[in-house]
Formats: sequence, structure tokens, C-alpha cells
Amino acid sequence: MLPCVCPSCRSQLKVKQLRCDGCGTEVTGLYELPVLSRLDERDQSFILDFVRSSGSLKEMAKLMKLSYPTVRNMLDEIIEKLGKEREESCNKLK
Amino acid sequence: MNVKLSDKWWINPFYRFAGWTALLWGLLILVVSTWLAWKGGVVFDSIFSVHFYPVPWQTAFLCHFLNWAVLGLLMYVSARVFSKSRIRLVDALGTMALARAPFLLIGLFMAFPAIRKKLSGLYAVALSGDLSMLASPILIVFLLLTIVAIIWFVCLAYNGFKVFGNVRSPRTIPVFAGTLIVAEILAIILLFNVYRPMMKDSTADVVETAIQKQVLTVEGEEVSPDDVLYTWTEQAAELFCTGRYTDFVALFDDTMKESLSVNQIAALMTGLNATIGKLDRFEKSFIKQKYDAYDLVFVPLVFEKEELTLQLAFDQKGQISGLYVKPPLERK
Repeated sequence: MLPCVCPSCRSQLKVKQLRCDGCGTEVTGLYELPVLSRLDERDQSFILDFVRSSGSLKEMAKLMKLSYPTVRNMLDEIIEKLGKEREESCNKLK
Repeated sequence: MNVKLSDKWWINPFYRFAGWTALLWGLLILVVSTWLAWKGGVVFDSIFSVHFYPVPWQTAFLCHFLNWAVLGLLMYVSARVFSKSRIRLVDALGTMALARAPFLLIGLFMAFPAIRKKLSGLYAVALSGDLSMLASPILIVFLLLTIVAIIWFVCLAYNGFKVFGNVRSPRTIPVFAGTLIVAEILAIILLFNVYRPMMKDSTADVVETAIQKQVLTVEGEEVSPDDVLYTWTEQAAELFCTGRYTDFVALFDDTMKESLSVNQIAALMTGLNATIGKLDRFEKSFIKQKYDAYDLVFVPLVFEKEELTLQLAFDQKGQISGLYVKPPLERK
């Protein structure tokens, strides 16, 4: 699992280097982590399950053995987190 | 894994059950709890109230179901207004139905015939103004059970609202409390304008007159054994005095059947037994009096400690159109 938060100061980590296993090329820079990667493991797993369920919260509820409103609330929390991420990104660009 | 109190199934089952599942189970529990409680003379006549007085079964069901529907709809509206989530009506109605489950405790308590009989007796005693019945252990247990049921219901309703409504803190508690108060106000309005007019508390009228220390003066003549009225009266009195209330009620006309149920007669007699002892016999010396198209017949009843009079009104077909239990007879 790719870490996204600094274990020392809890700031957002960035990607400095990527490596190609095929030819050994290394790409160095300073890249922002993709938005979805910045979510915790639980939320990422939820999003994957959501896509695999074709976006059906009913299916998700059956899969997770939870009630529909509980699953809906989990989705709403992720939407809120993504909204905050977008706000922070916009603030940085300014 | 540490499970918080708020996640335990008996405090918050709604993480796992909402929607149609909660609605169907909740309605089933509503039906069973209402029926069991009604059999014992208990009615859930507002969101929080549990009262002990006999009512027609239709009124008991209407009270409980309408109050649940009002609560569910108001919670749904509040969630729609204060939440950003997509709210389903079935979740609101289902969680509020399941939240009423603790009232099943009261229904189950009233399912025991001995408890029903005892509480019916206490009710009749209360009508006579005797407040010493408040010290009865069974009544104290009933009251404690009611308090537990109400507190548990509020916890469940709050957790249900939190799950289906997803109203974010710090608004969750004020919105929930405000909605609950409005629902109770509406329920009380329904109680006084819809339910109470439907209830015919003939039991209170019937018992009140009898408990008063008076003598009943009747101007009339004795019913001859050859008179068909004698046969009707003897049959009715026999059924009444031997506790065959279902057969007794079968002698009523349609209006009387709607006014006075088997349950209410049983409650009446339990109350009388508690105050003046068991009914020993009836005297076969009936006095009759004409009243419009009806024949009033007065039947002396002999209890262990007192005598009373059973007043029956017969129509031309021999059906009972009126019934009162009155003070002992003094013939003029």
C-alpha cells in the first residue's frame, strides 16, 4: 500500500522518483499523488467495490452486509473528503 | 475488537437493518405489541404515552399506527431539510417502526392473564377514587417497564435518525429532539380530536354509578315467568353471572356491540370483584319498566359484600340495547 502521509510530520507526501522495471529508466521529479491515492485504504477499497458494483449502493450494502443508509453515509464521507482535497488543490494553485 | 455501546445491536441495529427489512419487522412488532397490549386494556395513545383504559381494538391499532406514521414522516421531512444526503422514505418509516420494538415488552407483560386480571381490577378501583392501588407491586413493575420502554425507544429512534438522516453534528441532536417534540404535539392533537371521540368509555359510566352508596328506586311491576321478557332476562343474567361474556355480547344489538366489548365487560367485573367481592348469584325477581319502545328490566345481583342491580334494556326483538350496573334495588 502506497503511503500518502509523512510518518514524521503528517504532511501530504509527494512522489519523487518512478522506476521502469523493463528497461531500468528512472524518472525523477516532484509529483502530486493522484487524488484517489491520497485516501486511506478503507476508502480506496470502498471506491473499488463501488465501481465493481456498477455504482449500485444496494449491491454494496448486500456485499458489505450493511444497511443501505450506512453505505450511503460512507459514500457521502468520501465525497466530502474529495471535495476538501479539491479545495486544497485550488488554494495551492492560487 | 472494542464495540461501542452505540454500535450494539439492541441500541443501534440500523447499521445493518434499514429500509424494507426494518419496515416489515417493525410493522410486525407493532401489530403484535398493539394486540397484546389491547388484550390487557393498554393503549399506546401518543408517541410516549402508555395508558391503561379499555378501547375498541380499532382505536388501539389506529393510535399506534398513526403515531408511528406521523413520527416517520416528520423525521423524513427533517432529514430532507437538514441533510445533504439522499434520503429514502422507506428508511425513515422502517427505522421508526423498528424503534417502537421496546413497547413489545409491555405487550408481553400484559399477555399474562393473571397480570391482566390484576391490573383491570386496579383500574376499576382507581375509578372509584381509591388511590391506595398506587402501591401495588404489579402496577409499579408496569410503570418501570413503561419507563424502560420509552427510554429505549428514544435511543433507538435517535440512532435510526442518525443513520438514515445523516444530519451532521452539531445539528443531529437539536433536529432530532425538535422533530420528536413536534411529533408528540401532533399525536396529542390526534388523541383529543380523533381517538378520544372514538372511544366509548362506557366502563367508567357503568362502574361509577354502582360504586356510589345509593339505593335505586324503581317504579315498575314484577316480570311474570310466563312473559317472554322473563326468558330473555334470565338467559342474559345467567350468561353475565357465569362469565360467558362472549355469549352475553352475542345478545346485544349492533350499536351495543360497538359500544361495549367483551374486554370491557371483563374489566368491569374484575373491578367490581376487587371492591365488593365475587358475584354470588342473581335473584330471579325481575322488575320491568317501559321506556319508549324498550323494556327496561332490573335484575338484583348479589355479590359477597354488597348487592347491586343489573339494568338491561331490551328491544322488541329481545336484543340488549342498554346495560348499566346500578345501586341495589328498592322497590316502590
